[in-house]
Amino acid sequence: MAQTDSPSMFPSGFLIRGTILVTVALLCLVGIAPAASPPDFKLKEINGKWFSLSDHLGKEVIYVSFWATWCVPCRREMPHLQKMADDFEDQGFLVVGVNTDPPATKSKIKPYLRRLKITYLNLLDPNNNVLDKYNPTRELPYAVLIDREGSVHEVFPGYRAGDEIRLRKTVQTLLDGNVSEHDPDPGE
Amino acid sequence: MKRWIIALAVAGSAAVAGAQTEETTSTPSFRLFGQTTSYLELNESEDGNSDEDYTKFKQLLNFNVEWSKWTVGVQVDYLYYSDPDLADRLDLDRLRDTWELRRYYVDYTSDHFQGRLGTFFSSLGRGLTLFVQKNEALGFDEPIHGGTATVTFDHIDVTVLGGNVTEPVLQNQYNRKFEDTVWGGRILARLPHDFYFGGSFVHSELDRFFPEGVDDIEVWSLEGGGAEIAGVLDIHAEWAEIEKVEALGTKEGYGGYLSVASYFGPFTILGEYKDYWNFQYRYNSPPNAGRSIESYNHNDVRGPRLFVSADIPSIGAILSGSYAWFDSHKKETSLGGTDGDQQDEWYVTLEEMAGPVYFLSSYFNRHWSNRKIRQEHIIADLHLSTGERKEIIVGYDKRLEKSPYFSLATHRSYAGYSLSPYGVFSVRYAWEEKSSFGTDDFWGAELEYLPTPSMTLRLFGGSDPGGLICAGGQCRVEPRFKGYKATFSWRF
Repeated sequence: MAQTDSPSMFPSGFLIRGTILVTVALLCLVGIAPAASPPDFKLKEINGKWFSLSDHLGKEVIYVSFWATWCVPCRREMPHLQKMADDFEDQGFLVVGVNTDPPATKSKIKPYLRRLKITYLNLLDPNNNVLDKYNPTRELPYAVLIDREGSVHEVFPGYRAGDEIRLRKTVQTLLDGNVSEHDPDPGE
Repeated sequence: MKRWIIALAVAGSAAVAGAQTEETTSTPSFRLFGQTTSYLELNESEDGNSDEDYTKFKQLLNFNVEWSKWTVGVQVDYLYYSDPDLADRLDLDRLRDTWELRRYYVDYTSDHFQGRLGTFFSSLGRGLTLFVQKNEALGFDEPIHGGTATVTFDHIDVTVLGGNVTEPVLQNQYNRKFEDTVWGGRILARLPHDFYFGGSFVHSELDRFFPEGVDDIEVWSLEGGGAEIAGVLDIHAEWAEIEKVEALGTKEGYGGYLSVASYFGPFTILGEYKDYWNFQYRYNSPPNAGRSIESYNHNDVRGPRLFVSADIPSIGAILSGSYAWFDSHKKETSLGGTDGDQQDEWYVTLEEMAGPVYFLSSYFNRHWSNRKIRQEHIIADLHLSTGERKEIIVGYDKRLEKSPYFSLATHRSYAGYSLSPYGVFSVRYAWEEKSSFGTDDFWGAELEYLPTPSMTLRLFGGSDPGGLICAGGQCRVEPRFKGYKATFSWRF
């Protein structure tokens, strides 16, 4: 066993202090970090064409949503996203689905989208390299709403019935241009 | 071992080539991101013997800096067991070091080139030749330590990779760490009208279980297909061959896979044919159109599957069904042969989204006729929305495996309610029925709370039967649990 020399107390004071120090250092670093701009990425669409986020940043309001075929909350959210994509398409709203299924189940992705009548843009991130940059914990669904200035306006971890109501209001506000700096915190 | 260094050299060359061809139009940007997760587990002995209670604590710190096209990251894990000898043999953490540098990488991404030195996950083809992926739900988290590079030209993508890797489940079974090496590459050409053609190759050197030594595995594949052929047809075909040089001699095998998908009116149809013979090795996971929450054999199996799905707009439902019939290549005369291993598998799923109701129900049945083994999996999941981010959740899940000599049924039920828009409280009751052993009961309660969009807190108290769990097409057996768990994650 690799743990034979483990400390006998749980956990030792030294380790607690070390963890706290590192966490505080991180908080300081995060505190001085500039305002969040979304990580750029270039991924293939389902039919093999390339999509680059930077081609759209600063031009449209973009909702980047990470999902997988096995994710039930993702499946519940997708019809609402499709409705929003249809309703706001002419106003400069772009929904970008990013599928994170492994390559072994790739053949199921397109039939899945067809079954749910999803026609908005969907990209493939089979090695989860892009998901890692947005959400290292990899919980799904996970979405980021990007405003017309190209900055992250809000993140949406998970999906619960009714989330689409608030999302629709926020997107409409961004499209109308009636928003300044605002990053609502659902805990508030 | 030297070969992956060669692969890295190729990656370096590709980097130079890629860098020369790309445009430098993007504006440099600077960003810090990462996560910290604390996990505490208080394990209690099932028979009430406090001498067998133990504590497990994990602290994960992941920190990344992105500047322009460069990203640099590290992840440090701290692991503590109050008594390491009591850790369950199915616990995938138990062989890990107290302190581990789990991730370290330098990543460069541009229009025509992506390269990474350090830790990474990757697959080649559709997993026929290489599959090394993180699976959060199962706790599989063993990256390749080495390097990878992908160069993208107008119609061709070239990927090379190499490094050391270990397999999480086997090393636990054999109670020692394995250090394996993989290197290889893939080339894919995009042809007109959404057709594509390519191939991949992987060489791996695998730490042998017994006797001590190294097995050499070489596998290559050719793949091709097209999307939206005649507007209604997607096709993918792949053929692979494998050679395994092992302690007892050289074995050869092959893997063939064909999938065809079509769509018309309310119907979606997906068909597949697979033929895998002596094909599985430690780092591949061949394609499979079956359910990602069931376990499948990829070493010796052949046969077709048909999946059909239909909309029923009048009731807002989707009805899906699948039937598959598989056989094996092994015959009665072969070592360990079973005179074929015929299995038929079918499942139906009904999914309904109507107003505040989401309902999913599914029945799965698999029967091995020669061995007289039957598996069933029943799922029912109901979500009733009671307001914005508020819902009532009720569910049931049953797995049954029955043979002439033994049967095991695991039932899980749960009921949850949103205490607030950002918290859910749920209670669970599970029971396990083993033939000749009676029934065991398991009770538990869980609270999930999101104080902010970037923080998650989970608390669990009670017991859980463990057993087979599958996610994303992979499976593992989880240990039983009794006690308390607490997880706090913060993304930044």
